Amino acid sequence: MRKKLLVAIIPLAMRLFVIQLLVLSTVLATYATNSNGQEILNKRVSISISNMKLKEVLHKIESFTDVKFVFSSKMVDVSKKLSLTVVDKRLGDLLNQLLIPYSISYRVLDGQIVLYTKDETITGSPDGAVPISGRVIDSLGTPLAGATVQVKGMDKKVITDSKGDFTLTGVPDGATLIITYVGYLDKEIKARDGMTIMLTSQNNGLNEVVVIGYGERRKKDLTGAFVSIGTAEIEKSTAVSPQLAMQGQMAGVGIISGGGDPSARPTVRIRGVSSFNYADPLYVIDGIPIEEGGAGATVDKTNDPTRRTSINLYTIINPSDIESITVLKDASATAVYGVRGANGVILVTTKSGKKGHMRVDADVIYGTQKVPKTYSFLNTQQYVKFITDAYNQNPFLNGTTPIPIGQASKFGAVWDPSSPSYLGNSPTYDWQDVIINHSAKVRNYNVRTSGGSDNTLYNFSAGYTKNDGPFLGVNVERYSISSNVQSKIGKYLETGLNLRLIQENTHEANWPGTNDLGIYQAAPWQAIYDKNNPYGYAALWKTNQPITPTTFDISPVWESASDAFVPVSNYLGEMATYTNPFVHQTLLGSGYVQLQPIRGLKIRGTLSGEQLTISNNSFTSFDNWQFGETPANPYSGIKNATPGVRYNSVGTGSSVTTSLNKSVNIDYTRTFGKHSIDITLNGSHEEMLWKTTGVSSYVNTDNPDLRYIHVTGNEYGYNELHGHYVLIGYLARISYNYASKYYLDVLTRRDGSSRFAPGHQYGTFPAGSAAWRISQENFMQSVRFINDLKIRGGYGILGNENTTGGWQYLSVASITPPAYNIGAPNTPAQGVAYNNFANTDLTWEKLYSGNIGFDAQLFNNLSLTIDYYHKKTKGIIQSVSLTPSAGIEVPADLNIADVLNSGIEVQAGYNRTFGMVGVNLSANFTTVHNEVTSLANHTAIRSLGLEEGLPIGFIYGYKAGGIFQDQKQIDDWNKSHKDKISTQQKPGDIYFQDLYGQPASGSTAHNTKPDSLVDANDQTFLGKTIPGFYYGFNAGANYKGFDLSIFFQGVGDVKKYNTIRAAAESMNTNGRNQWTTVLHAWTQDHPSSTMPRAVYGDPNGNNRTSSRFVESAAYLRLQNVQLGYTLSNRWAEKTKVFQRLRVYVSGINLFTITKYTGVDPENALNPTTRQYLIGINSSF
Amino acid sequence: MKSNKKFPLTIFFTIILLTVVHFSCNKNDLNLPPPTASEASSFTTENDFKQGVIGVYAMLSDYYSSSNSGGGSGSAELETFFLPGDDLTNNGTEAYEDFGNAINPAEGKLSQIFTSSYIMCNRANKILQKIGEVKNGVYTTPNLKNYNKGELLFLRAFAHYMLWNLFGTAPLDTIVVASTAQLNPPSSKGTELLDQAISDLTEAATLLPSSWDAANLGRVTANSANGLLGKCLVFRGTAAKKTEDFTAAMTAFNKLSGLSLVANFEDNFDVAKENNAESLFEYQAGATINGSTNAWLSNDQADIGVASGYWQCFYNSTGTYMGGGLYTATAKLAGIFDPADPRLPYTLKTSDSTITKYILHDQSNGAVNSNNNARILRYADVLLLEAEATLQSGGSPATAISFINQVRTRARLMVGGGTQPADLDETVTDKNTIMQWIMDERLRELAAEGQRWFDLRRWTIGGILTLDNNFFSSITPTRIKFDPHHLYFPIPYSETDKNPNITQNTGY
Repeated sequence: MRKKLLVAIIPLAMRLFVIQLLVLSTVLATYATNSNGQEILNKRVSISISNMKLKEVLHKIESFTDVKFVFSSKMVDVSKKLSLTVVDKRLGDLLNQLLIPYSISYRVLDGQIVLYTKDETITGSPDGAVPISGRVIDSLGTPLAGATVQVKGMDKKVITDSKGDFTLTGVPDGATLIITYVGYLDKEIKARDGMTIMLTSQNNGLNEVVVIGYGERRKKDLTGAFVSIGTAEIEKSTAVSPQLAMQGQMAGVGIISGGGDPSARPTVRIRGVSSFNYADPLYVIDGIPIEEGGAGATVDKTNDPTRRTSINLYTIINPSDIESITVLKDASATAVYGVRGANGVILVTTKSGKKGHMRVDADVIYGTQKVPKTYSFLNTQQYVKFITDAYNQNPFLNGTTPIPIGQASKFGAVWDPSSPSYLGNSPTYDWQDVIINHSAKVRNYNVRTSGGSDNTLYNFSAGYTKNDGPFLGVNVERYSISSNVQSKIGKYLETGLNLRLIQENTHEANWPGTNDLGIYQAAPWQAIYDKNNPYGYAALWKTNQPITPTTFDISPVWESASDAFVPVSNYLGEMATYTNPFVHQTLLGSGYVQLQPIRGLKIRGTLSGEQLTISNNSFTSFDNWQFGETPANPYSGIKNATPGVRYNSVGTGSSVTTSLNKSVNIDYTRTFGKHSIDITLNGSHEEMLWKTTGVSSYVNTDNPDLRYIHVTGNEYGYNELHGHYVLIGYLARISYNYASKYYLDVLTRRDGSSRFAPGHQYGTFPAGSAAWRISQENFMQSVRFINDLKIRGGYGILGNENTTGGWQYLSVASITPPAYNIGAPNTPAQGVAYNNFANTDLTWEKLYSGNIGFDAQLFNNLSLTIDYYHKKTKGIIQSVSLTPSAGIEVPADLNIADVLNSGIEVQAGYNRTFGMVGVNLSANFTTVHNEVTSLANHTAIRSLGLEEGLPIGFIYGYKAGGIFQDQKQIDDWNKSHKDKISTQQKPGDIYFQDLYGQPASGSTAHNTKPDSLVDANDQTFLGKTIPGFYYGFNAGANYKGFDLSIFFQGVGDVKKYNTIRAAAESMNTNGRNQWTTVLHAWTQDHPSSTMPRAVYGDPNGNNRTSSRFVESAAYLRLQNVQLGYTLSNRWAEKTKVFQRLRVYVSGINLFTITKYTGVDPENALNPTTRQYLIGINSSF
Repeated sequence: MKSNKKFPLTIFFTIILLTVVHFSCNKNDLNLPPPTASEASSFTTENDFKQGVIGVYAMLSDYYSSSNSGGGSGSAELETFFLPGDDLTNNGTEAYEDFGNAINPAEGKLSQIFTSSYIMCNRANKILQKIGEVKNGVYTTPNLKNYNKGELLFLRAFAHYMLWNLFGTAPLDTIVVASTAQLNPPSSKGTELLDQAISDLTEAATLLPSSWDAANLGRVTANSANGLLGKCLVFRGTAAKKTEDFTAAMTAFNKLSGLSLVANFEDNFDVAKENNAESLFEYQAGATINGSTNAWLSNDQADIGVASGYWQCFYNSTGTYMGGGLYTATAKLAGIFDPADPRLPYTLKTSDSTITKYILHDQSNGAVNSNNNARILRYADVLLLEAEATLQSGGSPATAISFINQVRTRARLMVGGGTQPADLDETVTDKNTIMQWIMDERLRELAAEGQRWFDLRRWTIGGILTLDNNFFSSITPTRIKFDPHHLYFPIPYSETDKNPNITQNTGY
């Protein structure tokens, strides 16, 4: 009975906990009490020191109170030593005792105690000169309280107040002010009343706080491999996808843009590619790990369709709401996310309010964009001549008689030069141009209100973005709202609520694969428009009206649509008869209650949830078939179709991911003397439910308002897929440091996942790291150029479970039941079969990750971080067909393959002010060595680019040797070779290399003994598709109100098989248009050593997958140039409206240096757009 | 002050308590309800077992239909055993007509029939395992548990019988693979595959009913098991030259009951006369649920393909996917009949050698497949096997000849006043002569039923026959590249690539 009661109480208790949490966080967000600096100064302290420098005394006070001192070493005289003992003394009194002898004053600002030298000018002004006032702000316009403003060459100093304002008296005309502030670059500026002085933060400020996953650390205290960017970098990107803001900015973070389509999914790979299955990192937004239904392996392995749409889920975060993005790279950093950490973790922290007056920020970006480059294609005259010549090289044979290209029965009169309908007389239609959106825009509007009292911080923001794609019909429109409130209730409690709502309407590629430069394939003579067609586009097919379900008999509109040269789908016509908009709705929320019962101990309960809904509604007009190359009977699939009735297809689908995350976090921080310890314990429970449904049917109306599915006799499709997943995790982390000099972090995470068999669900992921801040050692004090130097290393084990959809341990009934005719002969009896291998031993992929590196601050201005990483993924889940003798039909998921990634990362920054000019430079560089070290049965799967010893996704094919220049060369070659693919070799054809022989039976290993035969065995490694290195560098400068930044990024040591060129230089033409480069094809009169002869049907196999089409995809791109002007404070004040106003112009993707012959080495059909923008940042 | 201190402590302990509660209540959440029907949730009712058995029967489609569960796209496995014999020929360039290098471990259909056979075994093994574990009361129909077990043993035996006839040394499969450690069984040796089949059939014969009711027509019976058992014994006896196998075969055949030759030979190939008195085991083809038979879809779906694939081989010449056009009668087959033999017109059309068997009384349902059952084992086959078993076990030659004569008599009496084929002389005692009669009669009686290659193979292994290129009477004799190693088809690469314990058959 007791047990039962307990069971009943538990869920109730849980529910109460949740309700409490929500009520607290909403109601109490507005509740506040006052506190001020006196609270801090009233703290009681006991301390005993002997013969210690003042600086050390202050550090010591910091170490056992939660007080922070802000001061410049120049100010605090450190040479004198002192001794004293106080017991239970008021902090304020102690400070007076300590500082007055040194003529140092202090002030409490933002919970920190700012020290400054006594400024006599505050108390009196002997010459009675007019005082100079001003304000010191940071680059975002936030006032900087506690900055020191000094008159150069004089002893006059003043500290800014909480609004960043200062007043100096007795400043001579033309005097220069020096402004210093911890964490910011010093600045010298000519004194002027009413001035606003902007300080630039030291990017790598050691005291900068970095979010590390279940906690925060000062940068100087990090022991793992982290990299982060802040608003300054994020703001430069105008992309809808926040990931693109990271491109080229972070060492170790490789990003490949999804192309011009604004909602396309970028590929994000951290430190190489650690699995050949799901290698995406985990995204954590404000502490909430985001689960996306359908990402990774799906639940249903037999019916696989990956129902994850092509839309980038992370467009749910408006980049302008992001405060910082931190990437966790090594095991000691990511092990806190255990089984989901193997691919790295991206922590997104959104903006929250700061203490101070209410502040309103409004940002506007407006710009145009376009495709940076298009392809150069043959015009109609070139095309007709080219095709005629190529055909004549290898015409069809009737017996032994060649059929001439003009022969009417085979080709139609259009190929006959004497015919009036000869194609060579047709105009050229520019298919590329018509698909490009010539007025594509980028629009981005954001408003943010933030502020806070001592007890309550708030931030509300709203944004609207509309980005067109480079091609017609492609765009994304996003509305976003977010709210973030944190509030302290009394002394012990704090609560917060964070909500985010997104509505996004997306039009992606309208007709699959067409809203891109793939349209190049259309022949230049093929008409685009047709006034007489109801849609205005030229149809490819006609039929006698009315068409009936059974006699759907069509004939080509284009006379030349012979079996040899067919026209290409009229994509514009297809687009006009098809729509498929997506709506993306997201609700993301979290609330917490935090209790701080004793100093240093924080207990936080968090409840968070997400609901992601992606739905689409497609409509395909009955007439769509007219425009396709291979038209389908529009009546097919319709039961009892009625002739004359127009059956338009409609489809609707939705994918809903709901997840709920409960977690309790206990954090204890304490300093005992020189020993600092930080213990974090966390327990979390996540449940994710995913459901996708799709229905398709017919409607008889074209009216967009009436296109919905209702019950008729003509539903023809319904499908549904479910996912359900639970993860329970426990985390313990202990961080210790001695005197900020020796650091040790040990952590372990234990995860339980529902994806594996009972009994095999839990795994432990330990990691450890250590650091030595060598610059804190006494012996380093004399090395003046080293401001800070920390050596660190770590090792740990991580998991990746997204590569299995789960349930692999079940022996499942096959989805399509087998049947057999028992009894009545024509009535099959349904059976059942269990066709899969129930793998109860299946477990996550394990990553063994090591990292060693250092962080340095040199010459006051230079920061440098270098890391070496070595990661081995073991037990990669490979779907393997088992031995046939096992009788198991379905390939089984086995933990079988291994992959290694290693490399070096460098991240450097330099900040300095030269006179009036501030300069900042930063650069990063990453190398990646990727290698598959083991595969099932050591069997290469070259179709997937998998082979032991080679990188994932390598290019495999023949190696071209050269071009036969004459018949003698052909004869000589054939004395010792035979090309089994070639059926005709003529001068101008390519010869391919004989590299290997027939492999041993059952082996995929190359037989290194060539066999004189050029055949499939001679295909070989042609290049890697994972860049060997990538980099970015940024140069910035500011002068007076102007600021300029230039940002380059690029990749190197990477190859790409240029599929566009392979088709557009195939010269094997079936009617597809070709690049103008084919005009340089080999001929007797104009031989070429690179471009083979043009010949119909490619009898020699010149177009086989070979090194001919493998190109370097390395590039260097001028990604961003921005020139801004911040209006002076004086002007801004005069407006009585603005606190800050900055206008800028910006260009994105201005040029790319590459040898790649496609339009964009990242995406050859859907290139990243070039954008010209104007923007305004304003604060009120 | 005091109350202030109590406040955080209370909350502190509350939260600690909630934390404990929070996790203790979630521990079991990892065991989520499975999203789909699985073995673990099945086998609780008799129907689960019945459906499981149907799932094994369904694998017969892979042998006899035009498509299989793994391959699809018209990949009839029957080519591998219909075409190599000397009864059928083909004017295309088909591996199993021509032999030669085209029969190699990479050959796709071989891989398919190999795989299909093991899928059939695996399905049977799984349900057998479940029957072994079934609790009392799950089966409610009397005897059904034994019947099901008998059916499963029979079907597993049939798969082993096919594997022996095609590959000879393929691995045995009698277990449900439960771990990757069990994945790589070794090659079998000698007649081990037949040994297993014989053992399974011996047990099945004791479990199966003598007949089924109309609603279950088409399931295997005790006659099916004893008939196939006898056949396996004759095969093993021939290959291993074991007299006692022939004796044992006679014992098995003697257990057959209620079987007789039907009056008309042609009734055996008539869609309207399936499962008749002569039938021991048939592939139960039929029209499908939606009335169409799509050869390009897997039979593992209820709405397609439980249909016979020979239609495409014998009748419909439109496609080449079964291999280079029609399978026609060899000159040898056409010539072995007395022109007056009534079986001749029901076997082939002398004018163009096209096969008429199955076709004349067929009910095609779609252009590719037929819903006419493929006859796998019928009484005439048994009688001829009895003749062979009698002869080879040292029995009376007259008795042996009398079995042949039963078959000939039925043929002769098909037409009123028929004289051919005449009875063979029962006084002949020369063993070779009688054996030749048996071999010839098997060719006449069982032509184009997928039996001939298996017969030729075992007789050659047993030293009774010598095969050479001329023997196959091919339409394009120059292409035939037969070599004795073709008696054992190669173990497919799909197996040898992964299984290190396999020894490839010699010659590949």
